[in-house]
Amino acid sequence: MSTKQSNEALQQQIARLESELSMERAHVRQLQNELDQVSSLKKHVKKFTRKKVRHLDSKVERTLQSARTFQPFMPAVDTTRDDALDAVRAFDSDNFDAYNRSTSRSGALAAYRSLKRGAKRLLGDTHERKQ
Amino acid sequence: MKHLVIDAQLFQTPAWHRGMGKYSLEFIKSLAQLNQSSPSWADITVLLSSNGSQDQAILDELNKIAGIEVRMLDLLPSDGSRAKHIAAANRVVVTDFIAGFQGGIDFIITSLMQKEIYPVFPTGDHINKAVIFYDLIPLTFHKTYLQDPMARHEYLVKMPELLLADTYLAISKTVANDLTTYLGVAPHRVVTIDGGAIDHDVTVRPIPVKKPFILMPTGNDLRKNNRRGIEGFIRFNKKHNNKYTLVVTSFFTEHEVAELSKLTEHVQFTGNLAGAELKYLYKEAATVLFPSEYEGLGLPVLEALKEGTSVACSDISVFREISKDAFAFFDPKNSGEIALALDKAIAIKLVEADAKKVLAKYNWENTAVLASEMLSRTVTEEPADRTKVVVVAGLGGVSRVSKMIMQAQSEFARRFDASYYQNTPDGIEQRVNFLSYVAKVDTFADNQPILLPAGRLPIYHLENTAEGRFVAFTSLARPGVAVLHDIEMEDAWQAMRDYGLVSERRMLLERSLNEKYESPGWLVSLVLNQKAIIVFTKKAKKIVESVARKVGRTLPVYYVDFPVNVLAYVDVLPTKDGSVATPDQAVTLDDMEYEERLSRVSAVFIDDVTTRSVAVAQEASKYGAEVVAGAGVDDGKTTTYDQVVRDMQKKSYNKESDELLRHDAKRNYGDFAEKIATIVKGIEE
Repeated sequence: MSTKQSNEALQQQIARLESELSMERAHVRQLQNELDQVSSLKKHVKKFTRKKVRHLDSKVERTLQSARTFQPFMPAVDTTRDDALDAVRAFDSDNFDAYNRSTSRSGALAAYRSLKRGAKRLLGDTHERKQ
Repeated sequence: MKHLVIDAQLFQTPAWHRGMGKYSLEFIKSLAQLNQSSPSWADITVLLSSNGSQDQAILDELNKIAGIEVRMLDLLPSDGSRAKHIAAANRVVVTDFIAGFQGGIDFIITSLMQKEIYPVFPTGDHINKAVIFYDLIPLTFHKTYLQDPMARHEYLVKMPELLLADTYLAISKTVANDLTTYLGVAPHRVVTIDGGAIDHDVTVRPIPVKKPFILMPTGNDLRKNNRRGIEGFIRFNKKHNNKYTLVVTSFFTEHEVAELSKLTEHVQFTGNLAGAELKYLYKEAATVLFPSEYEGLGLPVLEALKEGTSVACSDISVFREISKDAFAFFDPKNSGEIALALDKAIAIKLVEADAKKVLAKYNWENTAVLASEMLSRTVTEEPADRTKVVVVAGLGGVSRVSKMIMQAQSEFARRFDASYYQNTPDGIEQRVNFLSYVAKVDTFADNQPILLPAGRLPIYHLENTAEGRFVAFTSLARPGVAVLHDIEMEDAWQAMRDYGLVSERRMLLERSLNEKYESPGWLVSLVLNQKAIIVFTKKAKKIVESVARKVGRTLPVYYVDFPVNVLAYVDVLPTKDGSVATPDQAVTLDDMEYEERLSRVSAVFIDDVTTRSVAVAQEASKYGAEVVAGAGVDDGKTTTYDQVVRDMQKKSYNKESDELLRHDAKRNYGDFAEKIATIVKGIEE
């Protein structure tokens, strides 16, 4: 085969490969478009679900919190008394204990939060919570 | 004589092929060689895992080293979800293994943070636990490396082991400073062992590259700054009629190669190369380009010097540390500067004397000697019965106070059995909150009981913020040691009332008590019932003591220096830029940007005595910045920020780093923890 013929054969082969390449590229573009559509849909669903979950979560939290009964208290203390500070401290301590008793009673809220923590752990975002 | 045990599971990970693996192999070789000529240890054992890669090449390399014994132990690989179980199982294995030795042991882990493995220290007496420390890149560049929750977990889960080390063998002064800066490790526990050029091969094997060429030995990592490196090369090459080729080594994905190749046709990617081929490229290159934004040591620049080739590299701490004269430096963010530096590096060639000077310091013999000296010192054993405390504070990780608490844990844990009670923060992360990985942390939440663990002395960090309401509320009822961060506590009181923790009547009562005892800042109830008060300024001490006197109480008030992350080495700091910072400007930055900014400012202006201001002032002064106070700190002063800026402009602030020794070792976290330990001991007695 002469050099000219071999060049022609090579050029034909290059042309064939180029056409094959452009077909492959078109295919890739098409796949990319499809992927973009799926990704965008996925993002939308994710965003929508997150919003829904957040809304539901705050609703549950609000409902459970409304059952809370703690009311801070402080009897009148005569500040001119020498032992006023000790009396205040004793009341502060009682108030703190009352807060703990009252909030411990809201067991449903505690159970819900514990459930939420468990779910988050299962979903693998424990560490986000910890931040 | 002591025994040396080296955990080398690192070799059984992909890092075997990278700098870390090569570094560790040279490290073991040099230690073994040193021990033959000047014995420090009765024997050297290198540990591998029977469950890891059994690549014969690793064993072949290790078997070539005289004076070491390789042992395979049943060490489990890492698994993020079972971290505690794996750590415990591996600890039993290594503890059992070292039980066979008589006498002291130096136990070195060559790398803790590789995600595939879970090396641990053994327990027992007379063990010097050491770790080779390469860098804190994932933690300091957390937005790049730790966004993925799994990656974050896999990294942070190793943090407790890292903080267990008695000795840190840092590969450069730069990373030694990172250890003290970001983890609060006391400087005396850290030593820099440097490293040396790696002789990849004795032979040279040419590869087909178009000459003349510039070599960019790099990796497919964002911090390597490859794109800007190539942009700088393009600008340089244009000036030279595109006669140069940029040869980029190391592994890149096809996509990355395609993306970077779009920038110029004069770039050639070689992929991973054999040692002899790499040696050829170093020898033949017109110059070596290294545009990385951060490096722990940067072995390629040492390799270039060894082959007699000049280097154009980023003006970053670690390269300045290696030599201020041997390289053509550039700002890695500026492609114009990269182009100029390439011209300079090619024009001036490498000054042989500069290279000799660098290589005389950076060689493996020196590394072995430095490591051996550090390991020979006596390690202070942790007390067996550490006092139990619970540290109660506001926002975990986010506030200045929480940052201080987190960074103090490394030294705190050596003196206390400390657990924590904090708010769960939300908002932007300026730093990674690793506290929950290294200690038990309970969290406050609205309408949830506050159950301080029994038998632990509370240490309260009182802050005048809404987030500090739980701390203030608890401290009113359960006295302990109070660290007073603000002398105005009205916001915390208001938050307690607004969130329904205390009644309106209690607020009014507090107001009248404060009026009665002429106390500024709503301090009476918060401080007077505590067992001790710790403050960070003399002004705060004066105020608290004055209130106590008026009430007629004796209250121990201790003034301590606010702890700062004292640097292990000050001689690698950048020069001052003549600017003046205020706490407001500084605290909004990410930790790394914050440290970078403070290391360059000439002065800091503070106008109040809140922890935020005191912390910024102390941390800036460790870098040698002048601290100027306004009327808010000292009533007699009239200085303003603008005035300080004008003053600084008049002065020449190009101080050399050896003048920057204003930092005081007594303000480090170790000393802080020691002072708290003394105060707590006094209370217990």
